[in-house]
Amino acid sequence: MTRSWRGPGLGAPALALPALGLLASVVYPLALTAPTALGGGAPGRVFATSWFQAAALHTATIALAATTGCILLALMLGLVFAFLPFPGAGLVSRAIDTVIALPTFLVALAFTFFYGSAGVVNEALMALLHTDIAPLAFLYTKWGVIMIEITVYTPFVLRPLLAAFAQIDPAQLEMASSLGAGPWRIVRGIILPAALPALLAGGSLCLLLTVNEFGVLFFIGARGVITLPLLIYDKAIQEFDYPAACAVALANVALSLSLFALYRAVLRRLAADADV
Amino acid sequence: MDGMDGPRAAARAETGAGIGFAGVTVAYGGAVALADFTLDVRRGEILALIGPSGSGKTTALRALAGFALPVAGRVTIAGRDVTGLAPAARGIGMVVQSYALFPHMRVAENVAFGLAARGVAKAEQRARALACLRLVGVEGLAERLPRQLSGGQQQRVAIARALAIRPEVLLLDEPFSALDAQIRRAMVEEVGRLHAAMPELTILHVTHDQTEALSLAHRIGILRGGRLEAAGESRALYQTPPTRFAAEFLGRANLLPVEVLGVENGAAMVRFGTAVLRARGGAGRGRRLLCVRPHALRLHQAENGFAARVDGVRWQGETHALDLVAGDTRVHLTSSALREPPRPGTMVTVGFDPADAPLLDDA
Ligand SMILES: Nc1ncnc2c1ncn2[C@@H]1O[C@H](COP(=O)(O)OP(=O)(O)O)[C@@H](O)[C@H]1O
Ligand SMILES: [Mg+2]
Repeated sequence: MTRSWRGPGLGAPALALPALGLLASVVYPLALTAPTALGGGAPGRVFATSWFQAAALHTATIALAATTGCILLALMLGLVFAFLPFPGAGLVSRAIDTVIALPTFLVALAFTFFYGSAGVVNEALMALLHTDIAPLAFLYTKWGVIMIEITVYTPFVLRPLLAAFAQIDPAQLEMASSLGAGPWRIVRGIILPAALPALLAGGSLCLLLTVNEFGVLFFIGARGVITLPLLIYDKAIQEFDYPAACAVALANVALSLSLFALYRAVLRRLAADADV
Repeated sequence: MDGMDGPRAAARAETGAGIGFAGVTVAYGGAVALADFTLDVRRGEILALIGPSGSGKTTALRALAGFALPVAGRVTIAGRDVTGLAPAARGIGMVVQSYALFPHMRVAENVAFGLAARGVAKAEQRARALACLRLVGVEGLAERLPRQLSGGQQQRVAIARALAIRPEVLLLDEPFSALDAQIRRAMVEEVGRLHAAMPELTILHVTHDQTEALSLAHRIGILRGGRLEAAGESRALYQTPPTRFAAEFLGRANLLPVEVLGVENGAAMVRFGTAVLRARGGAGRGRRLLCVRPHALRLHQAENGFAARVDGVRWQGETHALDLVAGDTRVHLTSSALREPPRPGTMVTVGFDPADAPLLDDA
């Protein structure tokens, strides 16, 4: 008996049931969109339009910018929380965690309340500058969307990052400074390599979520900022153009999957490098 | 440190200042971990700091390395006050029990890390890293990652990394306690050999292994509850421990309750039970403890001896260990393996040289 114990033989049926459920409820309808999308030459027609291309570009740039922002912000916050403890750091860290639990449009609402044209900040600025035009309009641009997405999704990077930081032997950091290394060299040479897998995992999650983000964009309604998920909504719900909506959905799924695959590949490459 | 220049270095090693602790107190929160700690280590000296777990050994090292800020006192390296200096500016080599090698760097990069931090040119970094690896006998492992090494190899790399920056001071915090006995012995010899090659290197070696301390250190300091209990030249500290704690912590000791009767021909006369024995020097009268090491007791020696009943006999290969009872005091004796060991229950006489038996206060 060299094979490991495989359980009391329940494995296959126990797995088959949820798999079948998943197939029936998710994969089948999804699969139905493919012929709808592909039928009647819809993809060719849709993919060639300027509105599709603009949406695809917006989706990619917003997702990449927001993910980059999340990674940088999480890094900064993580380094402070993990290595420069201050009184109340635990509380702040927990408060950041609760952002994960919030619906994304609620965060968008909060931003509108602060930075919107009738928001607290603009009211104050208008009073200060004696003007009737809201000076801060960034919220209704790509940048507003990116800022909100960074706020919403940074905890998804921060959480695994803090877990990775906690695994670092403090003696390593002390040893490094004893050897003459300054903070920057320690971060770059010791902390970052240890945190890289967590950073990539959190970043890939972030990328997926931002590519598919709908709530924030819908809520803000930024002028001219149409992404693929918004486009699907427009085509399906407002224009009843189901073939076009399905074609865009197909592109959206393909974009998600390829970004995810790219990240997995990078992750595997890094893991392999570390294994040599 | 400018390498191995023989007698001149040795001569200088005698005189220079290595490490100084002057009234150093370290507290964590309200708890004092190190209290008014004063100790000097001469340049080129190996000093072992021993003491029970929690007695402040690591705290003393951390105060010197800059990771624990003293609330009082000063620490100096080579006569220079470094109390307020950042750890990175102290130029200390450090080796700890967990090795703390950088897991993402190859062995050569680990060893070169301190050189890179000092802005040494790339080519020289590599050459010096390899030279240090050769010094500790692991130059063949330069391209490995730390987790591809055994514990002993990792510790050699950690020592090479600490020495690569050519520190004046090497701090060892129980570096060998995670290694098994045989490798530990080899590593202790290795450190002795390294020090012979770098006679100016001052080594502060924290250990809870008294054998390690005795075999490596020129001098030993004993910490107890954050205070320096005793310090002195290793052999002297072992042979004439100043306190009961020092006697029991550094090696095994029989502590016989005696009554001091007076001094005769430079030797103290003491009464132990019904026997009158001679002990090492010392004035004073009254109740004291006579400290005699198990191997200083001679079986069947009537001269300066007392009677004891044999309670147990254990053969230990090279030695015999005898458990004896004299009055109501248990006495341990070790001798080289006996041809005819006494049988349990029989009476024997054991004696000792007065020079091997100092008197201690019962505190
Ligand atoms: N970071 C710390 N925070 C609080 N107490 C500590 C800390 N480090 C050590 N101590 C306490 O200080 C005392 C001395 O510890 P340490 O120097 O590590 O002892 P040793 O190295 O001799 O075992 C112990 O009572 C220990 O609990
Ligand atoms: Mg310790």
